[in-house]
Amino acid sequence: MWRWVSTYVSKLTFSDVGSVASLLSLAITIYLFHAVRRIKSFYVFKARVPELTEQLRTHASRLATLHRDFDGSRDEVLLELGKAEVTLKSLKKKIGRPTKKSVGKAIKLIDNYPYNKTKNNLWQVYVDLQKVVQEVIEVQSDRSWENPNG
Amino acid sequence: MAEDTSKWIEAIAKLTKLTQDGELTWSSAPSSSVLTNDEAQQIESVFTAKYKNKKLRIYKKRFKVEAPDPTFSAITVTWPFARKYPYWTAQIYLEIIDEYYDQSLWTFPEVSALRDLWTSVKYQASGVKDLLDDLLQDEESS
Repeated sequence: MWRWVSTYVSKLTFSDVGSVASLLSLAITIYLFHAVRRIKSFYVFKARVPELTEQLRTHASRLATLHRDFDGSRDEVLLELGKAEVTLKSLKKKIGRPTKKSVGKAIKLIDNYPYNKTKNNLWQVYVDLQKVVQEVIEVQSDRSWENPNG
Repeated sequence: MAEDTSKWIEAIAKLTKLTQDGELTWSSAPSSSVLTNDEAQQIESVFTAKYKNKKLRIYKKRFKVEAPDPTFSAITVTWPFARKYPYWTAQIYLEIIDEYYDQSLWTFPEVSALRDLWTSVKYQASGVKDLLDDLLQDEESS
């Protein structure tokens, strides 16, 4: 075995060594690219997601309050829904695939609301926003134990 | 999200809706039925209501969070967004209680929707709506 390796190595030219080194460096570059992306997404999640979750929670609470006096606050409802949608879209870019689905569902409900502005529909949006908030809170708790370096 | 959590959120949202619609009436209860206030924890207010033969109790507890054991706090110290200890935080509890002895039989899981139920309960039990209506009516008649 050792003899086979030494014979093989002795036959290697500088060009072969260069090719191997270049392939190795490509593999390291790809690994580092993914590692940096993972670390970046970890810190973005840690720093920005709690802030967006709190914003979303505030929008949901505001919608619950407006629901109490639905007839007198139709315009404010639309305004608040618009703000909630912006927060949801920003949140969607920073979270994992399973939660993205729930966020997408909430965005769809908000988009459909202007076509059917009923008190019940508003309540459905509120319930869905609360579900998104809770889901993100749970993901945050799970990820708080994660090591950014993988 | 677990299906269970989703159901709890829907249930708590339903209680909020019933409270807003006046179909569920909450009344203030003594805080001593929950806990004695001390230096580390305080009860803000307690409210009870009856829903289909079940007695519900909601209250807000504020409590002091002390610094964790330094042996295990290495991560907290290096994390730039870490909170400074000690700090006060609050949690809302919703329970099903015994009708006669007010003992807690079941505590609902802590979900974000509890905050809005708490706001609706306080709004209803404090009679803010009546006060506003009275004040505005007085203003109109004068």
